[in-house]
Amino acid sequence: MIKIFTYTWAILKGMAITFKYFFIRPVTVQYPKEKIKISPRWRGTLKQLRNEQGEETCDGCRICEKICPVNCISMEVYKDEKKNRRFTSSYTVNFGRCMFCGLCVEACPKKCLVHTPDFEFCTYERESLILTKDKILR
Amino acid sequence: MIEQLKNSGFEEMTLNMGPQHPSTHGVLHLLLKMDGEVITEARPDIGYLHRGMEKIAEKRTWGANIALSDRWDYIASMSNNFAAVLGPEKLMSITVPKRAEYIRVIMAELNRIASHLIFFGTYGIDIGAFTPFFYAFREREKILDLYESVCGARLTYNYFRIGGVSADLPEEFIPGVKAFINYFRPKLKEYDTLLSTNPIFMDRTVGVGAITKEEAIDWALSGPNIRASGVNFDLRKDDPYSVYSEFDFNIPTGKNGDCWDRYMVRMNEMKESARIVEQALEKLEPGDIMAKVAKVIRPPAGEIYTHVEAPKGELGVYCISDGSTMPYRYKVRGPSFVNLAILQKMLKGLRIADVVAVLGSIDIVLGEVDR
Repeated sequence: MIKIFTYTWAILKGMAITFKYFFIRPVTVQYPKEKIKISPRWRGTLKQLRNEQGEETCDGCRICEKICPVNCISMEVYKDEKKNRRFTSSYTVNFGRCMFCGLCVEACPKKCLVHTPDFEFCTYERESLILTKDKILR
Repeated sequence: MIEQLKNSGFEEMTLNMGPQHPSTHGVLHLLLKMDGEVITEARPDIGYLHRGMEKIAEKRTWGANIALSDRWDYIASMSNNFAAVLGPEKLMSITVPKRAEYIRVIMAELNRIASHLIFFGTYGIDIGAFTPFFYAFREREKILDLYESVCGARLTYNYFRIGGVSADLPEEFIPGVKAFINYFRPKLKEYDTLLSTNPIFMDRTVGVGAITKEEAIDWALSGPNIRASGVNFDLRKDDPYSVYSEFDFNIPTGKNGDCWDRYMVRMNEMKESARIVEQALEKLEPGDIMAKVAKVIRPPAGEIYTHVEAPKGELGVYCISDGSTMPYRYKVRGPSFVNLAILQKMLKGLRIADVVAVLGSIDIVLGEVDR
């Protein structure tokens, strides 16, 4: 009899706590309709920046390619004799391999490779996860 | 009785638990030999999540290995980062700036709270109480939000660097941590009412799967599992790394080493972690967050073993450097892997219904068991 009482009392005490949260605003977010604010430091997909004149800043130093632990960045570099600097003719990031560690962004000496706050990059095909230069240079 | 049954044609039965069982916390496969309801032999079968982390590490630079270390114990990545940076730092004899050390301690202790919250939530589910899970994840979400504001990721942080940390704290971080601790303290009392002192929960856990002091030492347990058996072993006190010697905190220990003790040690550890975080916040002063380190990291040839007190136990990294940019050998001592071994001894003689209670109480992460 005492046992029944203690067990019921424990359940009631637990219920009191859960009942308290009936009257508090729910913490759940109805995801596709409303979205949480994302921190500006969020490590999402990659993007290359242009300078003020609208030219590309990347000079193809290949540091991001070398530092990537999963080898997901690949590029081809040529030298422009007129402007006397190097440019990338192709710059491909395979986001199927990328682990979003952020080492490439940290290592970039020109600070032209940055993260975007995107987090929704699901696709139907693997091929569309391979982003070429026209999609990365924005 | 058992003899009679055997004579009349009943035999032992082999039962496969996992690798897709929801209560095995991942892809653990348990081979159970059953005599009716009693277990006569239990054999954990691991390797479903093996990624060859130690071999991969030999072909990655020292800096990239920190990013890979996030994937060992993926719910306590900060502690993994900690273990991964201490070795090369000692080899290169780098002194980390004070501010970076305190930031590291804050991060590691918040991660301990987050990891134990996951244990609290999932252990409730294992036993049959569903509500604590939602409460635990609600609190953990706040810690993840804090981490997101600092390093930009919610699970694989990759925040520590050899010689410091990757980014300074944002403005809203310190008030955020203080608010979290004030919010979190009263919640622990709620958890006690909900689960810890609940008689149904205690019936399932008190006296189940007890480990004696000697057994715990013999099987090389570490972390909350060995402390629950009454052994006062904590690397933060016994072999202080980083700045842990400056903080005032207690090490909660248990008495009987049963499931309930292991659970309570973790609950009390969360309180102590909150205390350490508060002290570290007070000592935090403006300053550098990175020591002066060469861009290409080449530790001098030599070997070193460094260990940290991860939420699951002693996480050690033994690395050999041959003076190049990549480690020659990178051995990881995962606490989950070592703690899992005692399961085959604990389960012998228990009922089938207790398997999940015992397995949940040693708190393993399969990412670290298999690596």
